[in-house]
Amino acid sequence: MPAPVGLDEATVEAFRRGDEAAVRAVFGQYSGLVMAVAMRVLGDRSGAEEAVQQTFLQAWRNAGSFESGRELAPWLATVARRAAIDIQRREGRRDTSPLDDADPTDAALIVMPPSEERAWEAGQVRLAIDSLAADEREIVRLQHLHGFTQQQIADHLSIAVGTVKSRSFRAHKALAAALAHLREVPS
Amino acid sequence: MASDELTPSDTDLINEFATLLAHPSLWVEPSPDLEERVVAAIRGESNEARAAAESSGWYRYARPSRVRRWSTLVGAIAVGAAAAVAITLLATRDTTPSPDSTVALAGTDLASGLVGTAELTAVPSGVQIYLRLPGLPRRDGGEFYQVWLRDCSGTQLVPAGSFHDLDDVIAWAGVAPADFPILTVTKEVVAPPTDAAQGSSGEVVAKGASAHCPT
Repeated sequence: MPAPVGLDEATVEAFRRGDEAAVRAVFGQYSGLVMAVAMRVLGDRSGAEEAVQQTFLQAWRNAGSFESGRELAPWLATVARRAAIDIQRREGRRDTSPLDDADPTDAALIVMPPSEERAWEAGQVRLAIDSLAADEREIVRLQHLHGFTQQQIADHLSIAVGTVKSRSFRAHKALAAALAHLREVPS
Repeated sequence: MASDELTPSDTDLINEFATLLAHPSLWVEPSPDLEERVVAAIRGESNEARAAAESSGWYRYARPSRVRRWSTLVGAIAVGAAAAVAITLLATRDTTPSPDSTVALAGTDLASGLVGTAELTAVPSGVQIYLRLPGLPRRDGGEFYQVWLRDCSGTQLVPAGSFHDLDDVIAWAGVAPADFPILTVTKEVVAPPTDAAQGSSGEVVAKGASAHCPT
């Protein structure tokens, strides 16, 4: 399977004009990527959603400077990371409290945001996940996020283990194809 | 090789990203209303830009160049005139404060599908709230809409005006949006006999936030 394909040029051009259907199409295609990048920086849904909104608004405002024919994803990932970092900095200026009282998962305790490369990788993995069929995506989610075995997945979804195996194979084959362009090249 | 086994190369690649695949942040879905909030924010700015372009006189001056005989000459004059108008407008706009922020508003279950914007502009007398929330039925005869600013804790509510409808209206509040970042619109009815200390009905029809509230 090829890497996730972006939107056609006409849709991107319509997005530049602020066409509502195009805005929805761009959101539908890339909201997962933008959310993943924002979550990697902020670790908090509410802040990440604010970053997502800022990202699409900024992308629309600056769409005129976007070169026609280019893939939107890297640009959106960059805008999303910056928007999230801005929110993180703003949140970092809030009232202080003793460190012992702090929640270890508090995003404000994250000193350094992920590098542009790491944020980009997170976005690419999310795009690859979003490109999977719903049933394959669910298998991957249960396997990787929850650590389920194939038998546990079969029990959880009330399907045969053989079905889990075949869907898992197809899903991982697709993921590998979608992520192949990120493969580290030995120096 | 069995057909349902990944190649070593594919396995290595999946393993390379296993940490990311297992990270909860990669699996978080945006809230269902986030798309509406994004569309509303873009629509609000888009409408504003279109209105500014139309009021600049470009359309008025461009049309004669296509129908008159000396089209080139008239066209050149039109471009010059339009440029002059644009320059004048730009100079005029410098004296008008631009919004400090635009809040995307989305309808609640009481008005699902409703989208709009609120532009917040701080001026010496308070904060001006320019609301564009089309689609709400007009409320008359003792019924009205009330705009509120609320703090993050939800304990303090400041009224910002009552209206028959909310498409293209200006509300005002004497508090800082930084302290009261939540904007809500409620349906209200004048309580008989007139309640001098009337509070919110709690029937929120639209909501938005100018800043993120810590969770």
